[in-house]
Amino acid sequence: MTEIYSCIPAIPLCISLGAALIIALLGERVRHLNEGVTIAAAGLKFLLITLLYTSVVGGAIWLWTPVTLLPGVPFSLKIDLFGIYFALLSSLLWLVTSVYSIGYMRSLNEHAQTRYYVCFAICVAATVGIAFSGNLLTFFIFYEILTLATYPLVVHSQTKEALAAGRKYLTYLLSGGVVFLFAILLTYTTTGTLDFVNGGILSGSGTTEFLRILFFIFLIGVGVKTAIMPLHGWLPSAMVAPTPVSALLHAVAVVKAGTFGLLRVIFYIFGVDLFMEIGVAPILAVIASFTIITASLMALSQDNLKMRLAYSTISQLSYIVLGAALLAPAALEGGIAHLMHQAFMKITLFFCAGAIFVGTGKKLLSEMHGMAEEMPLTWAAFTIGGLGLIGIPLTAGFITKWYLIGGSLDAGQPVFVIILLTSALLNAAYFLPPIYHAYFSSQEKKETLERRVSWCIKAPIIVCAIIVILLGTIPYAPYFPLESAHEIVRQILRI
Amino acid sequence: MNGMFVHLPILIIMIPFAAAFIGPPIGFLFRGCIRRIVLIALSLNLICSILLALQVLSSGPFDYYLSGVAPPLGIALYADYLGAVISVLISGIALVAVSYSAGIIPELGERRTIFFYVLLLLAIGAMQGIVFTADIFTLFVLFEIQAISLYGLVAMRGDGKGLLAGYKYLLIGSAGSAMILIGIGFLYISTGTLNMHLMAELLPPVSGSYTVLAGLALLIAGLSTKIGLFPLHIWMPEAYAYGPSIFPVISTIALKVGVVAIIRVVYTIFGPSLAIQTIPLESTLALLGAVAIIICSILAIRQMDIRKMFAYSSGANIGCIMLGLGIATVPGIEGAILHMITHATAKAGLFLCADAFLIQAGIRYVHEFKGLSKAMPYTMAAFSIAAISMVGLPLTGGFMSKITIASAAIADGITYYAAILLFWTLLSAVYFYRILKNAYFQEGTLSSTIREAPVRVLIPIFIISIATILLGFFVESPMALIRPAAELLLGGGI
Repeated sequence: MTEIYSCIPAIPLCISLGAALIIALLGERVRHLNEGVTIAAAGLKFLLITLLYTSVVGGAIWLWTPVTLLPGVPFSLKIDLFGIYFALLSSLLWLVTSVYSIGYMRSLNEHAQTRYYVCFAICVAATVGIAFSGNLLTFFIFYEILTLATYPLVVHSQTKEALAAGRKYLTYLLSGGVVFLFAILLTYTTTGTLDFVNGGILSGSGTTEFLRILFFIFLIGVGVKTAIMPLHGWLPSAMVAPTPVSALLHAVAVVKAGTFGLLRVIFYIFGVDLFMEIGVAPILAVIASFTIITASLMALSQDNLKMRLAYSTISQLSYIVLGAALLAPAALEGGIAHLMHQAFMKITLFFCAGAIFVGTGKKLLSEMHGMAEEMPLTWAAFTIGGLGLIGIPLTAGFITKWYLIGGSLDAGQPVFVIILLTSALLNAAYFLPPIYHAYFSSQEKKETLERRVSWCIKAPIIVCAIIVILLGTIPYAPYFPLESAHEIVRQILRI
Repeated sequence: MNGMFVHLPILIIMIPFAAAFIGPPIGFLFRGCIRRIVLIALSLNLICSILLALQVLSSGPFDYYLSGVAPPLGIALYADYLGAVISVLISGIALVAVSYSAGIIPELGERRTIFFYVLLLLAIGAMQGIVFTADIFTLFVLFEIQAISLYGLVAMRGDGKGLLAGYKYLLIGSAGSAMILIGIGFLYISTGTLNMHLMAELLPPVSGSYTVLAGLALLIAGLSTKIGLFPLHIWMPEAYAYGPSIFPVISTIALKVGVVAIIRVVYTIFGPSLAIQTIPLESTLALLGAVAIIICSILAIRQMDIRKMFAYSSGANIGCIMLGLGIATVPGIEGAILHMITHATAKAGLFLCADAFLIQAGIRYVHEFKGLSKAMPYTMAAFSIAAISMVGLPLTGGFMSKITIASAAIADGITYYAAILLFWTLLSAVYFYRILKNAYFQEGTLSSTIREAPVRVLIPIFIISIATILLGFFVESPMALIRPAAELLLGGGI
């Protein structure tokens, strides 16, 4: 592995921030230009991240530390494989979501579009910053920027309901941030450094008792964004946001930033050995299992489509946590691949929910009976996404679930196999009925609505649905998530 | 040492005083000329402060004897790291505040504008003196000059509320001054000197006596009124609310100067080890600070007048600085000094914006902010940056100082104080959230005649915002002065 010191890691960040600045300066008057800038920046950034990805897969590590923040803690941008993996996900989905956003915002003729695109760009910059952070303090800085920049998107409609949801959102995430910062400072004072080092920095410092407490403070801090139960309350409320926001931020960027952070803390601050030694893994696995099952049960009773998807997200995120907690290579591989696979499936579903809302103005599942005839493309994609999350073979979800089940058997804990299978059943219970009703129930009024949905909305849906299929049919193709996940796990576990 | 640089400490003090004396005659002769004189004086002052800071940075602290007479007979100034860094802060913030302010301040009228600027210059000169003096009686005299100028400034508008606020400030401030004077007297009786260095040398044998203990207690209590440490903060809300424009900014740096005086008493005269023997520092200063943080924040949350709200917020921030000083380790004091800088910068930004809102739109209550982000986008953006720094969120100065103090508290084993500091983030988020939410996300009933502030006003506001952000990132540059300052203070006296 070669370490390259250069300011390259800052460029993808600057592209998004630059886009935000340009859009802010252009203002509301030249709306088409704003959309153009968003697309151009997203495309450019995706290209750059892809190039960096190939170089990192080739064994390079990029590093940039321009200033010192605390003694021994610089502002550090570092691109390793795990980081670029997450950055690739966010930049690819930003590109897709940008196209979708344009269709969505235009169709609904939303207000304050400048603010929307500016905040969106800042959020994506923060996500990439999170991916590239070389130490915990830098990570925290971007983590908080992400919280603040998402708030305007949550309260976008500025209704009473949205403002109440926004307040809940900030209360949860800022409190989580404070707890996280406390854990970071505890780590800093015991070790004098905050760098992400493979194998951890905490080994040999403090008693087992202290390290256990520290781990749970970290878990509460990062757990808010990861939406671990009972810290998940903000996520369903945040569904008042426009659908592209729910799709990219609350199914992918924000929540995955939490999950990514948790994995960073476990494997790069504690280190695998210490993590096993202090014996918190089983507790984490139990918390994750509890979240998986409970969130699925809660999803069953939701009639609002986006709310059902939100609870499904909460449940799916804990798959990743479970994968980490099981500590078997296969489970961890499955978990890390799920980070990517789940993102595509969930974003497909959210895009569909948005398309249905744009086409028909309907939000409730009970109103969607027989709709597949009117919107065949959308419902086909919805079916693919739904089947994927259930874990039907030939979709992305099957692959990761297979690995997770294999991993729990490897770890000698077949009880989690039962949890995973129960969850699959529950997934089926909340995804299959809507799909069934959409196709086979009849509806009085018939009108072909899909034509009203612009191609800017339909194209991203189709692309994402195809990716879900591809991830499920040829998961081992070069540059696909599973390959990287395998390599990341090899590095983390040093095997 | 270069001959010119030797005289910098006295120059820094004398420039504002000299300008204060030549100001009125020229000001009455030529209309609107007074502001220019103040600007020139403060610019010169800033240049001198920066030169002195560079000088101290390169060749270390040095003494300056007035008229060349050495103590114990003469009066000494001592240019150390702490004095240099706070001096730059004073002249910098004052210059920005005055360049923001108008040639003729509308609420005061032409005649009283001249007096306003004269009092302001006197206050600035006195502040510069306080940070450099090594003589405790000179410290008292300068405090009186500063305090009397500030009382005058508060009451300057001449309406009932302003006069009452000034009177309240005068009462509390005078009580404080009396305590300071008696405290100095007690220390003088015990040691026979007024020079801080000599006092520090002569104190250890008598440090157990009740005279010395009473002296220390009186000094701390008296200075606490000057810095508005809870529960002696009660003059602040009204003074901030009813004083003329830019008074709160000047008062913000006056608070910091009071903190410097406390540092001198506790660390220079008594020395950390002696001070810990005579008073348990951690459990006194830190506890007072923690209580101030919690209570002042709650009071700020209950307050709907933004200027009073910011006054309570100042009280909480003073508490934070005291907490840092109470930790009494190098990182703790570093954090406290850094917080003085970041808080002064952010608070100056807040008050300049608040003044702009008042002048342009007549807004001073939280509920009136609805829809203001559309009418005054640039001022509101600067206000948001300052608010984020006050809350202590990343990429602003307030974040850096807060985590420095918090990590110092953890390293010193008083983890619960770190927890209070971090919890304070949420408390201050509550009251700034209300303002920002109203401004950005609620449609208002503002009249359409409200215009963005003029460029002359926006430039100083932006300078403050940029400084706030830079402090959150390039924190190492001020740290170059702050770190040796903290080490020197803990090195057992001067």
